[in-house]
Amino acid sequence: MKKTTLLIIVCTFLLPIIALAQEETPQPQQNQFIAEDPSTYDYSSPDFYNQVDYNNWDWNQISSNPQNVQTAITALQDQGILQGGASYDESKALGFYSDPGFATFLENLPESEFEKLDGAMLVDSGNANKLNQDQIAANIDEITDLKALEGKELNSYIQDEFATTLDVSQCQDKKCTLVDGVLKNDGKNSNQIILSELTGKNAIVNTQNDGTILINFNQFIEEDDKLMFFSENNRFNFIINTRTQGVNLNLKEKDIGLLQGNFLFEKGQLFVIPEINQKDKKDTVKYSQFAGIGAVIFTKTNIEVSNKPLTTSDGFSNKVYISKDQNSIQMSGSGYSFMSDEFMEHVPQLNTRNGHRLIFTPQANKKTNTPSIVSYNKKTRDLEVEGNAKIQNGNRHIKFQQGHILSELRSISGQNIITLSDQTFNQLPLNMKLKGKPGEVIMTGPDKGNKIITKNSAMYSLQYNVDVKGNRELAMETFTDIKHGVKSPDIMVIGTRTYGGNCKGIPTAGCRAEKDEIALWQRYEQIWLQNSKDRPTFIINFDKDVYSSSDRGNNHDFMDKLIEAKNKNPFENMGSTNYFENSKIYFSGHSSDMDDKILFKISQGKAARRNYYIDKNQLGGGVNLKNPFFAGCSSGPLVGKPALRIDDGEIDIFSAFLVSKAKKGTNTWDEFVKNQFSKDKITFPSRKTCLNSYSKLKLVDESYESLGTIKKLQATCT
Amino acid sequence: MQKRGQVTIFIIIGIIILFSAAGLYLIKDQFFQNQTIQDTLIDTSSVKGFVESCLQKTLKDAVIHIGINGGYNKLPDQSSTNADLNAPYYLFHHESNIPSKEIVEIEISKYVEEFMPFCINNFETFTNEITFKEMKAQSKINNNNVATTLSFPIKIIKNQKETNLNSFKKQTPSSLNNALLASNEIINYSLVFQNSLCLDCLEDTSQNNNLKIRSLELNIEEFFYVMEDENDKDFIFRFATKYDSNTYEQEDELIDFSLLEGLTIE
Repeated sequence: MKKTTLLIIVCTFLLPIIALAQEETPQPQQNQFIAEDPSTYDYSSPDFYNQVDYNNWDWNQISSNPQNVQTAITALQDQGILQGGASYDESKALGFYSDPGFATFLENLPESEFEKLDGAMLVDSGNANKLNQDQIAANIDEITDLKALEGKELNSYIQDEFATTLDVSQCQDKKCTLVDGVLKNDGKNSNQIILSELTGKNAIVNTQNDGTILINFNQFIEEDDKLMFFSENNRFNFIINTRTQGVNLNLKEKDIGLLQGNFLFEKGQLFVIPEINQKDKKDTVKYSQFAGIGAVIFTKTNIEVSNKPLTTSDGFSNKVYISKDQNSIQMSGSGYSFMSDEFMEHVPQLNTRNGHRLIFTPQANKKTNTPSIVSYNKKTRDLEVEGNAKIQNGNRHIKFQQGHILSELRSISGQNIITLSDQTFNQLPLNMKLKGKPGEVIMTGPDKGNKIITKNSAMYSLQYNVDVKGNRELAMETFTDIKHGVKSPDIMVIGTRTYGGNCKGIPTAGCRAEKDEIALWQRYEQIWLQNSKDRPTFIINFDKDVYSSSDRGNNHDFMDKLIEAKNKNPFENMGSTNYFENSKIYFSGHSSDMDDKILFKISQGKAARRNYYIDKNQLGGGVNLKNPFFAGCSSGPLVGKPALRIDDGEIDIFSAFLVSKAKKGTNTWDEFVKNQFSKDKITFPSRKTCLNSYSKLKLVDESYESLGTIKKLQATCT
Repeated sequence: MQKRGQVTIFIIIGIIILFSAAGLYLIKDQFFQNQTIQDTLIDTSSVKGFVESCLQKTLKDAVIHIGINGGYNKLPDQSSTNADLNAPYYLFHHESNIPSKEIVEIEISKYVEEFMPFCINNFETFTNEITFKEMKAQSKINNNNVATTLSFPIKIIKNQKETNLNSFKKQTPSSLNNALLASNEIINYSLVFQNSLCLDCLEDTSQNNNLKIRSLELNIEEFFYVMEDENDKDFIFRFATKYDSNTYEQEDELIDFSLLEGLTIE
């Protein structure tokens, strides 16, 4: 054979044999990694980690040398078991996390390597509960089930990171997560919250099985950073709503209702924040729901949630307040609206276009220095407005502006003719009241006949003083501290006070006077002159004790009783004639309290008369003279009579005296009478009043003795 | 002596006869004169009474008509057109268009002048010859009534004698003055509040003027006001206001409620 032929034969047959032989024969160094002999493992050799399966590793030995740990991690990473390498295999990771040695691995895992864990696979492996606080922190975004974590470790992390306590024990499996700081509970009700917003609030967060997230504030927040709602002795919950990106505040234990929506905690205050989404190329205003009262707020601005009822000082701030019973809501400021969930006509859908919802829009105006506070009680349907506001009541738009209640034109062209009297401004019955104007305006609901009542009340006392010399002085004073001038009061109380001695109305113990009875002539004049049409109901009180005797109640109690009695006879219509149709004349007091001499003069010589006639015209259209209201001892001489006897028209003279005193400074009744019966003219508030006086006096003149002043009075009127 | 005595008697008788004749003559003239005057007076009073009753009735009708027409005998151009019973615009596109009291007085007079002839009916019910000239009315709206003085020259001829009547005056109770005052109040605050109806203002106006006032919303631009006097069921005063809905001022910070359409609340 040739050498070449021999070489070919050798190469063809022997080399493969040699190669196979080499494969089948272990190298002497490789033999020391045999599993059956762990004692031969060289953990310092990088090859070991590539050649021996991790379930054969002894992490206790590995951890004896930090370098070995790092080598092992690198190997795991290279093998796709840990994250951070060129490749990553979730199934391998899942296997690794399920390995019995995994716990030891975790214990020895350097902090810098925590991020190489796979939170999701850890949860799937069932060993997520082996993560410590720091490991949780490094992988929290990947953890698909917070409930799978060890509660204490999780809470340690939450406490350190958010200063908040978190309890996820009630979560459904794989429903609670904390990704990018947003705690989600994807249960049925799907809530979420940005935990960082609770930082420093010492809150306890409870995730519920139904998806809600309850947050308890059970500690007193530091003074500088406390939430104004939360005091040491109160706990409050709020629920996070994932779908609406909102929060429910369950503050039932405080004097505030349940809220739901978007809220912002800032500097110790809670704000409802707006959410505006793009939909169909236009803004869609989202809402925050006040679940307790069943209403929502549509916002374009932040609104503070107040923990106490709003007052006038809040009129320019955007605030809402829900009462504890969740029946009442108060709104102030401007730039947002509150929509009640009350449906009109039982239309079970939101239909603002057709006005089936009540919508309240506070409209504070800083330019005109007009505040806005709207208070609405769902249960009683009492609506009270201070300042400017707008109310959508069905298809009626009612504005409160400049101290007036306005109805805007909003009906559909060519359709209904709408009248005030048929309740159309009150489609949903509301008892509307406008505060803060001289005399409050009340609009009642249909059950009371859709009335507008100007609730103006003024009380005056007719004060009769006798000084030490026996000089008498008759003066008019207000009982109550009326804050505003009252226009057209519907109740006017005229009462008497007799002050003995020389007190002259100056409050002293001996004079039985009260501090609030200081003369307020300026105010009286203002009221009287504004009331030039003379339309009050008069309450004539002769009883000094009514207002000073504790067992009879104070002025306000008495007034309340009178108003109550008056309200039992509601006005028939808004027309002025009917307005007073059921008004009454009120008499009260002791008959002896009125000095006979004064009576004599007032009643033009008919001494001891203790009944007064109020001119029908004086009251603006009719008084039920057949049914006067009596109170006190003065009713004695009058009760039993079929009708109040119409006397001499004294009240016009009497009124003339009051006006004369107010306008001309006529000091005493004597002086007035003297002028009246001699030469001076009387100043009347109006020619109409003058003519009324004239007509009555003329009647007196014809019926009794001549007064001698008729012609002069006639001349005055003309 | 006897002759002288007879003469004396004759003289006396003659004097008596003379005086008697003179007396009879005088009495006769007086009698017939009185009879003529009496005849004339009877005719005048009946004619006068007739004219006055016509004036009274026409004046009352005038006040009712003028009230329904918002102070006008015939509706002006700026009046509503779509209502069953139209009314003048007292407010038209933010400008007051309310008639003055004097204008309303003239309108009443026009009505009286227009409708009095129908009542007079050429005095056909009278047998006397009565001629008359054109009547001229002058009306005055007072606090509680409306008075009209009618200048109406009438000549009554009877028995070749003439009697002239020239002026008649009547008044009728009415709240027209209050209605005008109330209208002014309403227009004043309507100007302030633009296209809004001030409910409490209306209530005040109602009280101040002893009138029942109803407001009627005909459409988004038109309000009707109807005033009634509870003590005079015949009296109604009506007027309207018209706004320009395109000139409503846009309010600041008002929610666009159209954005809420379709939104469902939990």
